[in-house]
Amino acid sequence: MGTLWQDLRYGARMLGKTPGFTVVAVAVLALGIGANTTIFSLINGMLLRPLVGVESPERLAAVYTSDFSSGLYGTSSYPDYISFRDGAHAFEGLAAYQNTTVSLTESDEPERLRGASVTGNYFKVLGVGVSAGRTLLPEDEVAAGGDPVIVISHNLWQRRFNSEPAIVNRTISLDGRAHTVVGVVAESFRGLHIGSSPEFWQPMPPPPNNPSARGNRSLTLVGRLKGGATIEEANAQLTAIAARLAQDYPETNRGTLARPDEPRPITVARQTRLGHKQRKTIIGVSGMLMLMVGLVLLIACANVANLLLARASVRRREIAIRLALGSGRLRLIQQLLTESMCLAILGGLLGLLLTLWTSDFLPKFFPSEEASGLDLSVDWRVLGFTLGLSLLTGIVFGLAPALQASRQNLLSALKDDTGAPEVHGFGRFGMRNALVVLQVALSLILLICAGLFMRSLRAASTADPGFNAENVLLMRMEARGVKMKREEEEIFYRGVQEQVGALPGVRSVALAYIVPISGGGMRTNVYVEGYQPKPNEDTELNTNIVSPNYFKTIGIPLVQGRDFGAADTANAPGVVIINEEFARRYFPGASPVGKRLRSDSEGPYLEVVGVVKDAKYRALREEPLPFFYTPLAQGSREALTLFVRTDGDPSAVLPSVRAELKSLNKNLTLFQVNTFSAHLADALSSDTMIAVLLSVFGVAALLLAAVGLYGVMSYAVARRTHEIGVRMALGAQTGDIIKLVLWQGMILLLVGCVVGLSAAFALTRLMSSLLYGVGATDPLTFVGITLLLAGVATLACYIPARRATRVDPMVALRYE
Amino acid sequence: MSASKQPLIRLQDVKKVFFTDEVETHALAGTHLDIANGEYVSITGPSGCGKSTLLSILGLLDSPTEGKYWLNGKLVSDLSLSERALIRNREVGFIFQSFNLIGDLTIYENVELPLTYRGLSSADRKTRVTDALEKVNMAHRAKHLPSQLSGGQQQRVAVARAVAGQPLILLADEPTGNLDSKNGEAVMDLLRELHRGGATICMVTHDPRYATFADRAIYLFDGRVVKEEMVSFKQDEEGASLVGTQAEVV
Repeated sequence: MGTLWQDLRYGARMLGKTPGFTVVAVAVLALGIGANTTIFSLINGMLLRPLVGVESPERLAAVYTSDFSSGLYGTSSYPDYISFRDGAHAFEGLAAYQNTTVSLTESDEPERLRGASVTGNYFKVLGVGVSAGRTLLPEDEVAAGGDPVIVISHNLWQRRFNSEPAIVNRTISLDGRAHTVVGVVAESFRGLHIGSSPEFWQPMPPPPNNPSARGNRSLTLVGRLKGGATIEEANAQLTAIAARLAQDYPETNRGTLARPDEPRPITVARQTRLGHKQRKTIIGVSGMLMLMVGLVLLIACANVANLLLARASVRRREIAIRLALGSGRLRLIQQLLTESMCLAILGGLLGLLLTLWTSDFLPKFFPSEEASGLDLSVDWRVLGFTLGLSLLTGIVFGLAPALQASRQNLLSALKDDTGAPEVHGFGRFGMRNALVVLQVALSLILLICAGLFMRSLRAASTADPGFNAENVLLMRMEARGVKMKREEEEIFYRGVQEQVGALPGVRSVALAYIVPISGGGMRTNVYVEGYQPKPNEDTELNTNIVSPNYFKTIGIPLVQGRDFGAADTANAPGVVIINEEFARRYFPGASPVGKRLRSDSEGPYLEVVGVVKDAKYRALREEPLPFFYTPLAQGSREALTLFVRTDGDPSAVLPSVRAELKSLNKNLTLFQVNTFSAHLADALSSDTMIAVLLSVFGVAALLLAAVGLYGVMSYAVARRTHEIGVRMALGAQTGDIIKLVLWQGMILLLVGCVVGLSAAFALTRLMSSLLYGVGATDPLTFVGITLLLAGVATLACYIPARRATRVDPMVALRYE
Repeated sequence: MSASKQPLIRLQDVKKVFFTDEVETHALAGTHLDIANGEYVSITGPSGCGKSTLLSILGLLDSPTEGKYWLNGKLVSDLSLSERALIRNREVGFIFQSFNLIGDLTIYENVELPLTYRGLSSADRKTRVTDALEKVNMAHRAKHLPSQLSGGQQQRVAVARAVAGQPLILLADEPTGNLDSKNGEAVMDLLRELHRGGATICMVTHDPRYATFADRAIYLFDGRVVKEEMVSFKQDEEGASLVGTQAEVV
């Protein structure tokens, strides 16, 4: 301990004696460690942080029912939930919830609130506390049909009710109906998922007991495992129950048309802050980002190791004296490593400050709703990671120089023997050169990855989505309170289209249930007349409900048949419009117009009346999907989005559109107001974040590699001053000296590029699934980035080369 | 000035002043010197008298603060860096006290180096390097590195490098300074042989014994030539005795 303290003091003194070296080394390390800590804090915030505001979060488990079409993580029906709750003994309790929205109609301007309908045991299962009043209870479910009660979030209590203690038992108006607030949930609880912080919870009334209720799967389940019970046990119990249900209720609990004999698989997994589907994507992306920042740190380590090697040559005599005085090699390595650790810890501290700054900045990449509940603050995990990484970094960059410094020729070092002709490393491939090659190779890999992502982002943002998002205003609207009859709805929506369409600056207006590129969509089983599905064929297809003029408004060309019209009412024969991919798959070589399909095996046939061009529906990166549209009047929904195509800036018409809608229905709640272009940009936000982060890391790596190369070349020139003097005395011209120095740098660059390109070829293939519109070995990116690196590296070599030409042979040869 | 009538080297009132902070150091204070083609001149004097500064100016490593310098009839005191480098490469051969061989290059490559800067073809370079190494009896070590040779051998290689380019003049700065007496005398013998072969040599030395190997010994003091001696008699073949000199006070 005494020697460690001595080493620390001496190390601090040595670092203080060379402030320039210390500042550069700490800055380089801070960049490397800071980048890693930043990405780790992102991973921590999304994947590692436990749920807050709940009791023993490690015992909470999510229960999924597969719907065969979208992986394992599907929702469940209420009757299935009851069967699971009563039959699975591994759980202490099992609750169900479903996201919902209401309009807070307390003032003239209704506010749309996001919340959840939950079973009465929801808060008990989660173990959530309250700030005031009580949480919901099972008996509230029964009362839901009568005098409705509600629990609100701490945030809503503060924001809308000024934290009034009298909120408990107060009646508030939701969707025009009185609700009694029975409690305020504890501030720490912000829901179960990042991106959905509910502002209220209302009891879920049991659905009417009819046979089709089991097929209506819209509930998410969360359970608390009994002490000692495992996920596997719970999974086995629920799978057994699912098999039994498949036997008892084959109509609803067996597979789809393609898998008629299989029960729907059940998956029990730890309850996490991200849905398991998202989690898989995030793990892939964050793994890739961690790898990239790991490369940045390696480059930083190589850089600092090179600085230490240069410094060791300056301290050659001091180290020799220590060895001569009897210091053991291990003792000396300990001393040198302590100095490295001091540097690494300082770098780590500075890196942590960088992370604190980015924790405010990173969430801005996410659309505001998705970032809700995302906590990137520094906690013990981030601190532990930074400390561990700093110590590891200290060893990585400090060990090799320490080993080399302690292995020197004592006699020569003590005599400071510089008379003999020295071999300076131009002819041999020393450690310093190897480190520069490593830096060049690693930064090339990073830059290529960044380049590919930039090109991918560009391809995604410039790809033709199949519609024209320019000058389109989006506005989601819900008519709450007084439930309109079907005919009233038709009149209301027709009025919206006519009156908003007549506003100045508005070119056309349409309504649709789903906005394209929202990440999700609506799927339904489709039975095409005369078509026999192949084994395992997915017969669930994506669909949307749209008004007349939808295609014209968002710019999807109609290629065959007709658009929906006023005649396509609820009582008229059912009709659909399909896309070209649908036509290709189900009606190859035939005209689709006049063909028939149905979405329910027993339901009426719907006639295809038109064919439109393919477009992107769920995501910009998707492959062409078979898609069909049904008319609004034949499939109306409560919440619809208004699409307004304008002559100019869509936001200019927003006030007049709002006023027009209010004049049609004062109970209308308007939300998610956006331009279609901004909506598309939001859809690319995570791609943008990856591309920006990788570019920042790539540029950092490029700068670090350039600094490394510059440092090595400067060091080489300094070491070769004498030789350069001799060469100049022998008649070397400026060009000869520049060529000499550049050539050395170019060899390092060339070897680094060969190593880097080979590694990049192998590595980029692993991330091909994350790219869009660009190959993992895109030649343009590989060549362009290599040329960029070569250009910067050449400049980094040229500066010391120019300096070499200013060597005074007189001084170099030590004349008088 | 025609080359036949003029000396190979002519310095006229050459001064060299070094400025460090507020101190002016007059390394050369009005030096006049002529060296004829084929002559062997030694420059001696106490430490700090300006010997090496003089040699640097003669070798175009440095330029005079004042005065004129003609080399082979051409005024070279005001040339650009690049022109000076060209002349150094073609017309001057350097032999340094500390050999100044480049550690990463083989003996062959060291000797070849000035020829490379001259842009000679590979075949030409090979002929000249081989000849030069044979002249100093070091051809058998062509593939070795300098660190593998003794000091005497390294200096012989340095001599070979200096003569390979067939320069007008060989400038030797304390060529025996880093050698023991046996190796020192061997190098002096080598220089004498080169001189007998027609080489013009100007050698700086502080050792009076070696100064007498030259035709003419020049004494510098405080940056001025204070004495010149024509050496009438030389050491015998075995280098055993010094038999006589003729002095001329300047």
